Order: sequence, then structure tokens, then C-alpha cells
Amino acid sequence: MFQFKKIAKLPLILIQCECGREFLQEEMYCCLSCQNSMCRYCTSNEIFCYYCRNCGDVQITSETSNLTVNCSSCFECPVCKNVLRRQIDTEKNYGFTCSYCFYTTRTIGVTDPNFQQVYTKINNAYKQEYEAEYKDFQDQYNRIKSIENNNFLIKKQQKNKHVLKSLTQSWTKSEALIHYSNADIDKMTKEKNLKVVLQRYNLDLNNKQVELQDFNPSQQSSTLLPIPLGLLSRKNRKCRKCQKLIFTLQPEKNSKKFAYSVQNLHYDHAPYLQVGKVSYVNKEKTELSVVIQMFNKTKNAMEYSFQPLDQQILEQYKLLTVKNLPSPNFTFNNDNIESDVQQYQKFEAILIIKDATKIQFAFSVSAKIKMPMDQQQLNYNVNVYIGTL
Amino acid sequence: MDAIVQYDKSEFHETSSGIKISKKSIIKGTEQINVSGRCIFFNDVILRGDLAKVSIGKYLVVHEKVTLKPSYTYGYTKESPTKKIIKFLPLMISDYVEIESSSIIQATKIGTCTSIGKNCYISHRCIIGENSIILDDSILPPDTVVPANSVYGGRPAVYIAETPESTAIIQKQKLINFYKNFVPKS
Repeated sequence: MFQFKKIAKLPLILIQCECGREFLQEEMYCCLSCQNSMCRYCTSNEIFCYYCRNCGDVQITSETSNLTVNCSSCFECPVCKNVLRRQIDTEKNYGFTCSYCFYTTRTIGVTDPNFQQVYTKINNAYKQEYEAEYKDFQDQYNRIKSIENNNFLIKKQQKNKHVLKSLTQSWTKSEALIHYSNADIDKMTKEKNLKVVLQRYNLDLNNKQVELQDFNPSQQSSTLLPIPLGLLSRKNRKCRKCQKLIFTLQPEKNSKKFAYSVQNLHYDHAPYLQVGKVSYVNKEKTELSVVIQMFNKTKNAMEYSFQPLDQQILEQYKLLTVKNLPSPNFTFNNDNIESDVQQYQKFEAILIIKDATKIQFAFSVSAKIKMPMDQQQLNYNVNVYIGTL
Repeated sequence: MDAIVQYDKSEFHETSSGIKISKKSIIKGTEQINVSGRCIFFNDVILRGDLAKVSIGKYLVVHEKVTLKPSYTYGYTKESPTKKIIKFLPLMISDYVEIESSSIIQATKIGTCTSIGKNCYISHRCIIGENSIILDDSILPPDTVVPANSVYGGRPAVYIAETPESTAIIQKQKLINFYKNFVPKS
């Protein structure tokens, strides 16, 4: 999953999960029953549906019994992995083409005036390939068994050990033959013979005058079949401790829009922190003042309190000490909620710098959120990254 | 804290609905262009409204050297039933979209809360879903469909990852703050 922390610019405010990972405030989830905010790795996923990224066909796991891994109507280019699109010839034969590397199924011979028969041709071609591979494996198995059972052959092989050694090296007999098919063994003998010939004539394979062929899609091998497009999945999220749902999707048959019926983001239940002004206090540049702004973007009244971290934790993570922490309790009231005015409070904290290159400032926060039914509490740690000035 | 970006008032036009267009950009066919408001167009932006209708939502940020051009198909008409004619399709850009510099866009539809990186080429008849990200230096071949909540990148652009559920919130905040901090020099 994509992480916005990599793109975000300093100064940053990140929330530290219990597992030690840090995420943006918007990317954290919260479980109200556990009274804890957590990251994506601390939640468990449950697949809700599979969908095709090209045609939008949706398979909901709870409704359908025969789930497929690949889309039945979309294919992928075997050369560049782009999604293929339909093509009509001048002779009115249907086929697939890639709009990036110009791969076509016409070179394979998979075209037909009836478009649905193109799919059957591709399926038949795959069946033939699988059958050929299965036959190869059967031949190998029979070959191994005949060799093991036939003692006369084993004695002969012991005499001609140098032949087998060149093929197998240090492997045992049965293992060596399993890993190579009949075609591969033929290839290796041909290559070996070539090397012997080249060495006699002192030809250098790594000659710099030999130029490698450029990527020329028109000259690609025409035996490649289009690959069926794999389906993607949409997931529901659950808390790992209490197994309650944090995010659930609404059942819709349109993959272009996915709406959530239950969503519990940390952003929805906690005030939003933002770094305001950052400046040095001293000429010696040992003290730094940071103004932090807090916005209540929820529709609830909130009581908010800060608790400074223990000295053990500060020393363990090499954090700075903080002066002038604000008064322990803030209250966001219900007064202005109907008029949609964002409630806003700010405080200024003075930091003492230890390392000028990277500044880190942390405090733990406990918020009491007055919901209409319950009085609940969220606990989480906040890290503020400011960077160099 | 987002950095304040100051601009010269003499270099930008500003409309009553909050659209800020630089004087060095090239905009053609203004009759067919419909912009909701609070958009920023930087220098050397080319916007071709003379080919087909262009409808743009709010809080769009278009950086330098971007070309926005409607896409096309080949079709037949009653006047010429045998000859193929180029038809231009309307371009639709939704709200809260950011387009980075030096990219060329010929898509038919760009969904809400999307971000397109630098040096991208989005070819004709592409559809980009909402809450999606297209990485820098990527090429989208024609007729690609980018699903919602996805990250695409590469040459050709391929599905890479899924975006988190809160991308809409992040993108909206980012662009609203960018617009607020884009302030004329006093």
C-alpha cells in the first residue's frame, strides 16, 4: 500500500503506533472499543470482493461461490504488461493488440470474424501448451524409472561418468534429470558442442564489436500468448485485538466507486495538529520555538490533555526536553459546531536542540471524547519533525 | 505548515471566482471552457478549448509547461460514410486535481482527488479514477483505465499499489492550503 510519508515535506507531524511505525495523522485508524489508534499493519484484512481493473467486473466473495483469479474478458500483453484492446482488420477479423509495443494476436493466428471465438482459440492454445508440458514431465518420470530399474544402464553410466558429470555436476542422477526436460538436455549438448568449436578457432564471445540488438517490438517472437488479466481485491479492515470492523465496504456492482458503510479514522475522532511558525529564540541557536496549531474537525465536543513522556523513554529514543508545555487541559465546546466554524487552539513550545541536523519532539496525548452515548478515550504518541532551518 | 508562495500581480490574471491564470499561458477557445473556480494555472500552460469542450472543477493546480488537450477518435459521419474523420471528445477534470510540470494530458476524464506527476504522458481516451496517483515519468498508453484508489507508474504505466482510504482527505487539504498560501506580493 502506498505511504504518503515519503512524499510529505517537512515540517511534519507523525503519529507513532504501538508497533513503532510512524504514519501521517490521516493514515491512522482507530478502534473505539480498544480505545487505541493503530496503523495499517496492526489491522487485519478481509477480502470483500475481486474486480477487474480494466472492465470493472466485480465478484463479491459472499455472494458468488465460483470465484476466479483472472478476468474472463481482459488480457495482458506478454511483452510489456499493458492491457490489450480489441482490433478489427480490413477483412473484419477480430483480435487483440497492444497500443504500446504493437503486439498483435494476428501473428499467432488467433483472429476470427466472431469475437467470442477468439477467446476459445486462446483457451485452446493454453490447453495445448499445458498438455505439452505434462507430456514432458511424464516422459521424464518414465525415463528416470527405467534408468533406476535397469541395472545394465547404470553400469554403462558409471563407465561414461564424464558425460553425466558435464550435465549434472554434483547433483544426483534422479535430481538432475528432474530439472531438465528432453528439449533442455538437447539444448545444453548443442551449446557445449558450440563452445568446443569456438575454442578451437579462438573466437571470443565477448567481442566488443558485436552489438546487442536493440529492443525492437516488431521483431519479437510471435509465439507468445496473451496473458489473462489478474483480478484486484478490495478489503475490509478489522482490529486485531477485538476483531471489530473498522472499515467496511458497501455492496455495489460498480467498481468505479467504492463507498464505505463503516469508517473509523483517527482523523475523525481526534483533533488535527499542524505545525505553525518555527524560529530560533537565541542567537546561539540552542533554543527553538515551535507553534503548534490544533483544529477540531469532528462534530464532537472534546476534552484534550497532554502528558509529557517519561525520562526513560526520552533517553531511549534520544528525544529533546520540552519547556513551557501548555496547560494540561483543552476543551473544544459544542457551541460552534452547527455553524461549521473550525475550532482552533494553539500553543507554543520551546525546544532545546541537541542535534542540529534532525530535530525530534514528542509528547504523549490522551484525549477524552464526549460521545453522546459513552465517554471514550484515545491514547497515542505524536512525533514532530521539523528538519534543518 | 505549507510554504507561502508569492507571485507578482502583474504576471497573473485573477477572476472573481478565484481563478489565477498566468499571462504567459496559452488558452484557446475560451467559449468552450468551463471552470468552477479557485484554480491556478502557472506559466507556459497550454489549454486547447478550441477542439472540444473542457470542463474543470474546483481547486485545480496546473504547474509549468503542461498541455491539456482533448482526446480524439476516428469515426464516420452521415456526410462522409466511407471516409474516417477525426472526432474530438470532451475533456473533464474533476475537483482537487494536481498536475505537475512538463506533462501532456489527452485524457477524457480525470477523477477527483488525483495527482499526476512530472513528465507524464497521458494519451488519448484514458480514464483516470478518483483518489489515484500517477507517478513521475510515466506513460499511459491509449485507452487505459486507471481504477479508483490505485497507483500507476512506469513505461507503460502499470498497476503498482493501492492508495489508503484517506487519500481524498490528504489531497483536499494539500490543495486547499496551496491555494490559500498562493498570495500576491505585498
